Amino acid sequence: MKVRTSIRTQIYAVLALTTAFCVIVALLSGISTQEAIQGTRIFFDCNSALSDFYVAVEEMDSAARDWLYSDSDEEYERYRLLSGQAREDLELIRGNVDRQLAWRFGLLANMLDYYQKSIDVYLEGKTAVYATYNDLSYRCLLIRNTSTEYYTALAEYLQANADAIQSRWQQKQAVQLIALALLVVAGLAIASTYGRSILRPIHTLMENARRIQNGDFHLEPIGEASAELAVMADTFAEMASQVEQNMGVLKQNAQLEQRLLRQESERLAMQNLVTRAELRSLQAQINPHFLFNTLSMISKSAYLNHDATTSELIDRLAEFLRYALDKSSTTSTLREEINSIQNYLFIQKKRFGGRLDFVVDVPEEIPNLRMPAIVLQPLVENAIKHGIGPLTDAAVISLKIRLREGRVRIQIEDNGIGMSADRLEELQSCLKLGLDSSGDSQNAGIGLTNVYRRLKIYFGGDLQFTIESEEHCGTLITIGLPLEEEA
Amino acid sequence: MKKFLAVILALSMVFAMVACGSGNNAGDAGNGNTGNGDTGNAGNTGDTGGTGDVSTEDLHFVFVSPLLSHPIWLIAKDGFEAACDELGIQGDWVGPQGISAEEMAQLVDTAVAQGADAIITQGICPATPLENAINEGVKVLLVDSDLTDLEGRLAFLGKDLEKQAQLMYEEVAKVIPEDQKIVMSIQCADLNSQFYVDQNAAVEEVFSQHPGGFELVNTTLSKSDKATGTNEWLNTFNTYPEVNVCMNLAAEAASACVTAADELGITDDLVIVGVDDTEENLDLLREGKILCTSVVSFWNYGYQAAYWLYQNITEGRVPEQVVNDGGTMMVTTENVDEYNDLLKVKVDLPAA
Repeated sequence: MKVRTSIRTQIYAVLALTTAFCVIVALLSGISTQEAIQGTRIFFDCNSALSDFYVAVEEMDSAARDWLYSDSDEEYERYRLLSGQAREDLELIRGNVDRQLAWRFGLLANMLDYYQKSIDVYLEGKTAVYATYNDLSYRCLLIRNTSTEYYTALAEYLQANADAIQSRWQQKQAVQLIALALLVVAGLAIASTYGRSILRPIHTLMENARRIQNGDFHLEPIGEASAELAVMADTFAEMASQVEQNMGVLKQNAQLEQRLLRQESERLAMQNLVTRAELRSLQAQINPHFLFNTLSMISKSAYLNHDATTSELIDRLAEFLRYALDKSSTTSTLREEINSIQNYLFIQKKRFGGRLDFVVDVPEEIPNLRMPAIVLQPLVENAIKHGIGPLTDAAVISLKIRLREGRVRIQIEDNGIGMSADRLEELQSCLKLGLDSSGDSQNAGIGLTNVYRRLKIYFGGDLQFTIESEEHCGTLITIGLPLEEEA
Repeated sequence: MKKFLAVILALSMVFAMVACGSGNNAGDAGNGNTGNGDTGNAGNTGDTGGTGDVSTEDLHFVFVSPLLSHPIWLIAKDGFEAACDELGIQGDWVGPQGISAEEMAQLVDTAVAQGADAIITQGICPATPLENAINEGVKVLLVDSDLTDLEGRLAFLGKDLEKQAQLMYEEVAKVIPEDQKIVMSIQCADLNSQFYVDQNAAVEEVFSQHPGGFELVNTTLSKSDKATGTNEWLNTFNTYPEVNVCMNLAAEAASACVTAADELGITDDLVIVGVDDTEENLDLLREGKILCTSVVSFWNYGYQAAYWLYQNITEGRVPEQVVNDGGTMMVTTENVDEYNDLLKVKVDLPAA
């Protein structure tokens, strides 16, 4: 398995390498400079020492000859001191030049020995003062005469050394320049390589993101990349895979939901058909022609017998029933519904007399909406039957129709016994589930549930249907219909 | 790619370190040796002090030449340096720019003061400093001209003056009929030196035996200077037009003589004899302007002399006799191209 290096490690490695290289070049440059300075220092030190040597030799010779004349210990000591200084000067030079030249300066030390030898011979009493004096002068002369040769030798050596140092300096400068050039080239190459190794995977990642955006989950591999980018790419690929999976699940869910909705819609349509069939069946139970002919005959008979009230009652009943039978095709209008309910109320008022008061409040501007037939009558009938029935007097049932917030709001209210909260909740649940509220639709007539179902089928989601009731305080049914269905 | 770049960087670093660290010994190229700069021995501390207790690497030989840059002596210098290189000893070539016995004496004294182990010099040098050197334990070997009174010298390598005079006469006799008188003028470098005196005397003695008669009409000095020699020859030719043999006993004298004779248009009337195998003399010989030139091995003055001193110091060898012929021979048109090899034959000292 290939081990990927992290970007941080790579950057640190490059930085460390570059820094080490720069430090080494700087150190070498420093060493080179130090060497040049050292060379210059040696040049001055050696020249100065050689000059000091010849000065010391002259003073040494002077001191020695003074000593010969004066026999002064002080002068002899001075001679020895200067001789020592001269030797130190030579040693300084010999310590700073090559072996060949050091050997040659050793010859000068030998000359100092040779000079001392003359004094030693004198001290041994083998030579006279005058002869020693001349001998010392001559030996000093011999040393002095070497000055040109030795200055020249030292200058040539130092010049050669300086040339060598300069040559080395130039070589090192050239090397440093080459090294720096290599560093720059390598740096650029590294930057380019690492840049590509970082940018190329990022570019591929961006390209992959674009693909995912377009719904294509076939991602391009990022190839060779750093550890971080490899992790990022792997995570990205995993995420893309998950998104693809999730989208598949969502698509399946959507298809399933669509199928369920379609089934629900089919189920509702089926229920509608059943409801219609049920309505038609109910309506078909009445023999319309026979009934209307009979009622017309009774009405005329009553009228001929001067019973106008009975005649009107029969007429109202016939009109009510005709409406019920004519509108068996399910749709009617709001005006026809109101007219029908007024016939029904007229009959009921005759029935209850003073115990029951009906209030119908329908402004003229109310639009004549198209709506299912026989909607209001069952509701009013329920109010009479279940709300007002136990009351002995002052029972009021009101029908109010208003235009509110772009809707026609129909309110049927009674001041009857109302219902308990449990009963109200049960009723509302039944409506929601499509069950009959009493469990016996025969007893309940067409019933509240029937009305609600038909309205729901007709208006769908635009229907508003609420029941408000409180025990001993009456019941209020509010129906909100949309305006689009104006007849 | 990244590994390749890393290798490039590493190599650059190594290259910079190696290159910047190298060449520290380049400064040693400067050679401060003012004498024999090619000795190549770096082991000598200069404290040689004398003989006997030093290693061979510490040996310091000084060649005190009568002329520092004279072409003929530079042949000796080449031989001396070759020997020093082969033996691994320190060698200094010193000498005056012009003939100067006093300066040579001082150079000998300097060599002694510096603790030289051996000195090679020519007989022009005064004897006193050489005696002092011998007293200080320095080995002394004379070349080219001897100091016969110098006690303690290891050897003398030089011309056999009598042999040289005889060879010269043999060549002259080939062109001067026996019945023709030889009228000779001699030019030498210096007459203060016994060498030149002896050389002249030997020539005079040998040539005086010529059956047709011999007369030495003039002796002049070139003082080791060709211009001086030319003037002297012009004066001689003007003063002694009867001269038919020009004896040049200094290296530059023969070419000076030819110059003067050419100027006067009498070259073909003269028999010109020279000494030493300078390039100029050899060219004149090939041109037929001089009859012959006497040579000894100047190479061996440096080469064999250094070997003899070395063998003496390190092995105690001594020559069978103090005075030794340096290989005196006559170069003529017949052997001018091959004589040189004969001059470089080294003869070792006999085992102790």
